[in-house]
Amino acid sequence: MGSSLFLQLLVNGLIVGTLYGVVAMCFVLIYKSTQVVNFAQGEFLLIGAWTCWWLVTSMALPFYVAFPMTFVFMMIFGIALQMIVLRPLIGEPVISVIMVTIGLSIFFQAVMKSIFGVWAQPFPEIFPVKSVDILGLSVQPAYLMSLVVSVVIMGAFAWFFKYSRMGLAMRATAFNQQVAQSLGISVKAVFATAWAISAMVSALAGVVVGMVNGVSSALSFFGIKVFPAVIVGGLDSIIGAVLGGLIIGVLENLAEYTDSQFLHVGNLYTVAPFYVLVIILMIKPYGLFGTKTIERV
Amino acid sequence: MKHTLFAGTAVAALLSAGAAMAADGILVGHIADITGATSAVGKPYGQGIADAMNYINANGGVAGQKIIFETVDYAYEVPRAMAAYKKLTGSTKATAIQGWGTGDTEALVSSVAKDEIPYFSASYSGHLTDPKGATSVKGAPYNFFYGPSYSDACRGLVQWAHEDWKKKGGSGKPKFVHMGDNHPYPNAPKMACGAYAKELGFDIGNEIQYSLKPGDFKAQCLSLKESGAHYAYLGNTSGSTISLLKSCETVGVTTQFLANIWGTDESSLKATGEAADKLVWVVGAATWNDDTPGMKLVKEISKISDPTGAEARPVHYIRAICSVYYMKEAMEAAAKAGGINGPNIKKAMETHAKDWVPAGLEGVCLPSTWTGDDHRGTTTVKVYQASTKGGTIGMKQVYTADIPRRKEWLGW
Repeated sequence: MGSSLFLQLLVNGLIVGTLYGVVAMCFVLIYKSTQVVNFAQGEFLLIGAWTCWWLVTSMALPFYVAFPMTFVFMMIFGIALQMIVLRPLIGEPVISVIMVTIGLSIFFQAVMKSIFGVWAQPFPEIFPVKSVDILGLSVQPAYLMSLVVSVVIMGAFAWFFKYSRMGLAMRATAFNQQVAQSLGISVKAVFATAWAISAMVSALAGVVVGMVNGVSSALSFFGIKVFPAVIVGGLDSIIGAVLGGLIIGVLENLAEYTDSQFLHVGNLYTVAPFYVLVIILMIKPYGLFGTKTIERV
Repeated sequence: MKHTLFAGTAVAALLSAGAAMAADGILVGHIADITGATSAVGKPYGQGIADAMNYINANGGVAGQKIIFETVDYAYEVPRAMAAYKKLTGSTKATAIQGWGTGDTEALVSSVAKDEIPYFSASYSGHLTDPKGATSVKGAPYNFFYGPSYSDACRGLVQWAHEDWKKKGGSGKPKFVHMGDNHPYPNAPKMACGAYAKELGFDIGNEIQYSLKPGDFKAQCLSLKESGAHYAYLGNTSGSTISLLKSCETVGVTTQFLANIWGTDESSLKATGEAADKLVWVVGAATWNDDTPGMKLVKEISKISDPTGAEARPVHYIRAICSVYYMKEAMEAAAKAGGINGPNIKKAMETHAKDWVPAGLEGVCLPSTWTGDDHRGTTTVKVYQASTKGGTIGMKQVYTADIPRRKEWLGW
């Protein structure tokens, strides 16, 4: 039974890890193109999940209509946020922008609580709740869906950065904003696109997690949990974000296994990713795939 | 959503600027969690406290004086509660406090005793029930709460589980597991309840920790499944319970869950759906639909923030009213005994009456008795069970436990 629990937790970790990877990619996307670490990323999940929940429950729209509508809303939200709040900060010290994102996270938390309350609300059942049996392991349909969608998104990100004009423009902007601008790339458009994509993709994760656990303000904590994944993978690496997400997802589940079977110290599930965060920062501060900055002094 | 938790506090907010104006009424602190980790239950409880005090003010006040209060949302962060307490004991000292969480209430035990401020908490930690420090490390002479302690409530659940096991014809020893965050509130009854469960013949499994914040708890549910526990006590509040029950449903956990008094309520059962079916938990007062004489007053109080009277209030709201009305009657007794101040309120709480039920709340608040030696107001535990199959939400009382007032359990 112990080995079955191990396998079950391993699979659980891999599935949750892909979701972490998706949100981590959103962190990286914004950082790569704008040099901003967005501490309001968790609130993007929250806003997306509440929006979809509201469309499904209050507006009585079918999920397959509400879901794309949520994406459209989040795209507009991301662009508007960048234009109204973040664009005026271009050229300001990075720490100012980071502080603004922290402020935004607190602001969005408060707004969501005042609109939707503090109670967790369930999504109407879209996928069967009971897990399905795959090779003797039970896997939840909503998470299976999220696994598929996450892999598709990861593929789409890879294609986007390699072949699309905007993706190439983003890479150029990340490399050197001034040079990119001199080549005719609209840095403002790049920034807006980065925030829009990040908001949309975060919303997807929010909806998936919300379907499983109910929608509540606690969803935004997901943003904090993803942070170790981003640091482990490297703040500016999309591949790193994916791998970091998987590492953290598996790690916290295996920490639960070790704790429940052997150590019994409690809470290892929650703290293990942060231990890893500290260790990685000590031995490889740029993460597994992050770019090592060389500064001439 | 539109309820004005701070309806009466608008007055207080104006008055708070001038502490001297507290002389025009009785300054009562109100420390609440409206937005923090326990806000799912903190908000309705805080609303109940505010509505009850506003209702009292609208109906003559306490011994002819108005209650002046300002609700402080401390978001379940102990340092913020400490700061609020410092403010309440600043230039004008609060006469009493309606408080909230276990961490902050326990941290303030010595301060309220030194400042002689009766502290009516929404923490039912057994550690607060020993006024003289007879059996616990330190006494809590100025702490009161309405309802069974977490320890007694958990003992009541374990008693029910013991009966349930026998009724089901279970063979061998049933296994009991404590679940909750690593936090003063879920931890408060852990040792006491575990010891009683052992005494009743349960095997005690390793505890399983899960966050007070709702989240994905499948990993913890898989551990629970692996442990083979028959009964699991849930020590967190309702938001976290919803997530846990949903997560455990998905991985096919068949353990019978036993939730503490804040572990669920009417809205949370609805949110959890079928995953909450057969959940057993503690209810510390009458419920909204109970046909008892005292519900008339509860429904009048409810109109303070819901003039239509249409909204059904959760059990936490009703317990909050009980807490305020015990304080009110103790203040009235104190007024007759020489003045409304901390020591007189404390004395009134400890001597007012045996099996005391506030006037107008008959059948709502459990008869309670506090004495100078024992602050376990009631040890009666009303155990309810949920039925949520097929989209209907039902809750039915299935057991009443009368936990003995063992001397060695005081303060534990």
